[in-house]
Amino acid sequence: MNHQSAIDTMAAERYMLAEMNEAERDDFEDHYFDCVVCTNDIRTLETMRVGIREALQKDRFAPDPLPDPVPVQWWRPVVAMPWAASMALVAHLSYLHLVTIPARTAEIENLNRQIAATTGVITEELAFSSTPRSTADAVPEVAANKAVWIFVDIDIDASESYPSYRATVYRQDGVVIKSDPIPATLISQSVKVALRPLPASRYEMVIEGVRKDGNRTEIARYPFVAGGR
Amino acid sequence: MDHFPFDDDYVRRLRDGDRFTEEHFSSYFPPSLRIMLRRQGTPSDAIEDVIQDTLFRVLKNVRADKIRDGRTFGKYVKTVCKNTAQEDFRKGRNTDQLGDTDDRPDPDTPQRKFMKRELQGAVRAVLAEMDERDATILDELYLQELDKDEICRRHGIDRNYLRVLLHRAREKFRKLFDDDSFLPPN
Repeated sequence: MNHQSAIDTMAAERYMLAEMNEAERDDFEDHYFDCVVCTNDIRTLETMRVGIREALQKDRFAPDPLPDPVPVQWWRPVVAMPWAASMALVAHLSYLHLVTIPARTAEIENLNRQIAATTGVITEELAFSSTPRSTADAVPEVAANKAVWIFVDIDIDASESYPSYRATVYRQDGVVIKSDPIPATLISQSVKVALRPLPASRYEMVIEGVRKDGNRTEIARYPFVAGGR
Repeated sequence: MDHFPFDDDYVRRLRDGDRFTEEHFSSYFPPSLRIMLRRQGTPSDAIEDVIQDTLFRVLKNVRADKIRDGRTFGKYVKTVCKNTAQEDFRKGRNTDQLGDTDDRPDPDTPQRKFMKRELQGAVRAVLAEMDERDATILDELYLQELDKDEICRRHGIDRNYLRVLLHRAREKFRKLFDDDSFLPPN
């Protein structure tokens, strides 16, 4: 391939769009490694690709802006009264916890969830167990665009244990959303994966055993959906 | 018109240990090699090792006076790289392909932070000039990584439209973010 034919056929764009067969790709690579203009074209396309991807990703996952801080004026009733109410609530909870723990445990857990929701920590949870799902079972669902904790209780047979494990979340088109290594020492406990807000789509969490040579074997697969709530 | 950045003189300076030529050699080839290796499916965790091995082998052969034609020096480097990647593959390297090495954040020196800001500014300027459909196409192509035929079907366009879109975006982007630091020393 000479330079003029590379320009005439938009070779740089076709190369970056993976539209060339192996022979043509090899031919174009032979050319651009010795051509400063085509090298510049290729690198510009690659830099642009990375930059656009980062910019779009940042826009998609931008956190909600925090409200402007307001100076606290303690002497005002509108400030003092909620604080007094909060202190009274704490006292009441302490009494409940110390005096009537068995009867009030569920009530306290419910209150903690409400507090967590108002402070903006992860509020969506998804729990999977190793009990095989029936195809008739509904696919679990979480709200779209909210951070999610995924808990997985995996029952690993001693006969099929691995040096380490990996938990990977895939979007339905195969794009990897997150992949976390899991040491073997933690696999007998609940595996916990935190996910940033997910756009509405179908996803799957895949647990794999990782051998010493790096090869992986799928152990379990858990589909779920983000969206609709 | 000649666009060749290399010649017999470049190879001679590299062989003789000229510092500026060595620096150019070490910085010029890795970006192109990275792009090529990723295109051919080399595992992401193997790419940097293959590149370092390639530069080492090429320099060794230059110093042993084994390079015949300086004008095809770039092609020679590319060939050594492909052979190195094949050898690496035959050795059965770790097949973990998760993650994009090109998107891994580089250590954030002040210069890199500046370059990142410049890059983001250029990208946003290019995207702002596009109509909504073209911006959506780039989102589907680069962020969602949808199949290209699917993208064409969704928007009622053909593959040539995609190429022209990339070509125009590239030209606009180049004007805003022009980096010619890769040119070889005189």
